[in-house]
Order: sequence, then C-alpha cells, then structure tokens
Amino acid sequence: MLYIDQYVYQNKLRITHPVERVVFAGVNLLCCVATGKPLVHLVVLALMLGLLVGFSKIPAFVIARLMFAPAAFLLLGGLAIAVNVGTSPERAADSLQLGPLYLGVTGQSLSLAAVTVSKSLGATSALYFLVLTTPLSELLYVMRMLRVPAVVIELTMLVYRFIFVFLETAFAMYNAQSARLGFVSFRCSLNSFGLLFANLWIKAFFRSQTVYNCLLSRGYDGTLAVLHPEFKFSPAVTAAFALLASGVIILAFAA
Amino acid sequence: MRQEILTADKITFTYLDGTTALHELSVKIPQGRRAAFVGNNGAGKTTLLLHFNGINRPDDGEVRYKERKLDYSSKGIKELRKNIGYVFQDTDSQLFAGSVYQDISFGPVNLGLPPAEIKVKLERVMRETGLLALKDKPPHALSHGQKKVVAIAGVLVMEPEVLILDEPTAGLDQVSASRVMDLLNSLNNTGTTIIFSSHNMDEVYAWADIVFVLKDGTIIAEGRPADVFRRRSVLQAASLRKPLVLELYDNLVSRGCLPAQAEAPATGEALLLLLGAHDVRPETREGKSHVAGV
Repeated sequence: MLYIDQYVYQNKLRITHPVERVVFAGVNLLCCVATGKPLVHLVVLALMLGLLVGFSKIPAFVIARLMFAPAAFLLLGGLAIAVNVGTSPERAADSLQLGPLYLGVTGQSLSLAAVTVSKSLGATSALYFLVLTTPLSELLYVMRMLRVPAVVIELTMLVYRFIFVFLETAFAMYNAQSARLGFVSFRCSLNSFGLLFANLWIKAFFRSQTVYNCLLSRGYDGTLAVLHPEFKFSPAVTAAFALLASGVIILAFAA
Repeated sequence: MRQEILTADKITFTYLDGTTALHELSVKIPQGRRAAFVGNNGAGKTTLLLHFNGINRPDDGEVRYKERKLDYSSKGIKELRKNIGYVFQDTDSQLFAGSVYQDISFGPVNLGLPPAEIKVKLERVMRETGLLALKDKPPHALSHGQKKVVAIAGVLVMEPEVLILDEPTAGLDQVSASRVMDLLNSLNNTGTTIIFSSHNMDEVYAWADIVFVLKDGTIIAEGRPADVFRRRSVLQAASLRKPLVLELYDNLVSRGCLPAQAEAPATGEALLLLLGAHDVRPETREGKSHVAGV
C-alpha cells in the first residue's frame, strides 16, 4: 500500500498557511472546471505539478504514480468520447469500417474529448495539490474556520484515524487467513472473505466500545474537542499565491 | 500506615452476559505507592481497574476515593477522571485524533481550561515525555512504543493524582518498556500513585511496592512482592512463576552460597553485585535498591 500520508506530513509547503493552500487550490480547481480553454487547464496542470515537484519536495515518482491512475482512466474515457459508432461514414472526419458498423471521429468529438481530458487532468492536479500538501488536521482547521458543523469535523477526524486501524486489522486478518491457505482457490477465497468481513464487523463493534470507554476516561462529554494548531500568514507567501492565482483567473475569464 | 487513596469494599460485578467478573472483592491502594495487580487472563484485573475511574460500576459493594464513596453523577465523574488517569492496554483504541498534539490536548480541553494554559501544559508534558519531535505526526505513523508514550502523555497532561495502567509494557520491546517504566518512576517520585497490571513477574517484583494477586475475581494474596512471590501455594493457585531473581537468590541462600540479607535483591544487577560482581551497570530503577539495606 502506498501511504501518501507520510509524504504529506513531510512536504515542505506545510510552512505556508493552510488557508492559503486551500484557497489557492480551490481557485485553480474552479477556474479549471468553469472554463473550456485547454490552455488554462494545461497551465493549471503545469503549475500544480511544478509547485508539487519543485517546492513540496515530494519525490516526482510518487506524484507521477498518483497522476497515472486518473490519467489512464481519463485517456480511456476521452477515447470513448472521441470515437462514435455509426452505420454510415458520412459525417465522420475519418472512419474505420467494422462489418456493417463504422467507428468514426468528428472534429467536434475530438475537441470535446480533448477539453474533457485536459479539464479533468487540471482539476485532478489541483485536488492533488491540496491533498498532498495539507494533512487532515490542517484541513479540519480550515473547515472550522469555514464554520462547518462540529459533528462533521468530529466524524471526519474519527474516520481518518480509524480507517488506518481498520485497514491494519483487515490486513492482519487477511494475512492470517493466507498463512493458512485461505485464498488458494476461488471457493476458498469467497469463504475466507466472508469470514473476514463478518469478523471485522464484530471486531469493529467491540473496539467501538473500548474507544468509548477510553474517551470517557479522558473526560468525554459529547464533543470531541481538541486544541487546533495555530498558523501564521506570511505576506510574501500570500502574495506569491495571490499572484499565481490571479494569473490563472485572468487566463480563464478574460475575453 | 499510609492513607489509602482508593478502596474497593466488597465489590461484585457481573457483565451483561452473566459472567461474574468480580466477587466480593476488597482492596486498599496506599497513596503515593506503586501497586501491581497480577493474575491470569480473565482473572478480573481490567474489570477491577475500570472500577477505579468509574467506568464500571459495582453491582454490590462500593468504591471509595480518599475515603469518599464515588460520586457517579456527571459532575462527580468528571472530577474523578481528572484525578484518576487511565491508560488502556490497546493504544489504538485510546488515540483518536489526527495528530499527537491534538490527541494530548483532548483531556485538558474537556476540563474546560483556557487555551493558553492548555498550550503551556501540552508543551511541558511533551518535553517531559520526549514527544516534541513527534508533535504533528498522526498516530498511525508511530511505533507501538511511541503510541504508548503518547497515550500516557494524554493522561498525564491532566495531572492526575493516580495513574492506572492496564498492562503498560505488554507487547513493547525492551527499550520502549524501560522508557515507559522510567517515565512511571519519575512520576511516582513526584508523588503520583501508580497502579498497574502486568504478566511480567520480574517487572512486578523489581518495581512494585505492593502486589495483589487476583484469581477468579477475588484477591487471593497481597503484600510486598518478595513476600507474596515466596508463597508457593499462592503461585500455584494463580499459576504464576516466581520471579527469576528471587528464585535464584533464595536458592543461593539455601545452598549457603550467599549470606541471607535483610531484603532480597530486587533486580538482576543487585543480585550480581551481591555475588561480588564489580562491572555491572549501575542501578537504573531508583528507589528499589535493597542491596544497600534501605
């Protein structure tokens, strides 16, 4: 499993204020989604990847691997948009005959595919910028500033924490089953997976009771209040982010 | 005789499934001491410990804190749990927040302290426990030993009078385990009463002032570790092993290889010193150096 988490905590862009990062990524994401200009999408993509590789010091191969999954998916999706199936080659710019059917592309479908792919890639990179530079505790801090209801923040915190515990438990059980040949055949696998799933539920139930006791022992009274870290704005960083963001806005919305 | 800080008076506790975990159990924990609970899995150690901070409520009998019956109202419970810290065996259940700093802040925030004061407390407890470097890490990025220290820090920050630890060194490597025990040492030296359970008889023998042996929900023996662990019938009944150092020492004395001391040596190092070794490492567990005849 690729634990992105550890890179997030070590990334060098963490010295900037979380609000700067959230706003910057948000503006870029919106510009990407709101406009159909491939140039803007590509500028955002280049900007995000450039900042990530150049300033966050997260290894380029990690970012490349992360980008690969959505990129592959988008290229296949783009292909489906670009290629139409028809019974005659009349309106296609170019076509390929397959028995009675024709696979064709038109100028319109090609440009629609290109815009969709570039838009999605740009938007994905903006999202990655946020995700890779901002640990969850900082996201929660911004959510709190935005007056997101406390229960949402508490749930997010618990889900984040226990997803790792859940995965660890699930993998430990999976390994224990594999060690006793639980997955040697399809039949075995189905049976083992069923057992694993059922046991995970039971474990989760018991653990939730222990967690509740732990919280009670530490004075839990209905709210999971913790002290949030404090961040300082630096004028230089804010200015740099603002400059880049306004460049993207101008590119996207100026006629 | 020292004052008792916690008392269980003939408590009986039955789980919802009908298992009677404790049966008319009575125990007195002296203030400022190190009390250990030993006994097999299922003997009732955890069930009993959870009575001391009001998580479990006895069906019969009563628990007293400083001679006063526990007040189970929400205000009383809050006050109790501030004073009696509890470190659970499973650290993954205890740590819930996204970072070490936030997790440790949970207790003091619940106490309603002003943020400035909480920050000072957090800073101090993280310095004392050596966690400053891990401040922003999420719990799942820590080793088991580190998680245990974070769990303890999250309780210490409330400055409890009594610290209860359920098998604090279970599953820890030697270095982490002795870090935890050193931490408990310095706490105990500043007056905190320590109550812990353990399956490591050598650790209990070297470290505890008073040991309680549990079997099937009752206390079958209590006293100073050297006395309790010499009672063969007790060890047999609770299927415990005699601590190695004590076993060796008693054997050496009975064979005439060593003159009998007023106090049996508490640690391997102390025993080696008695045997005339000169190159053993100095005693690290202060306060238990029986060799000097303390």
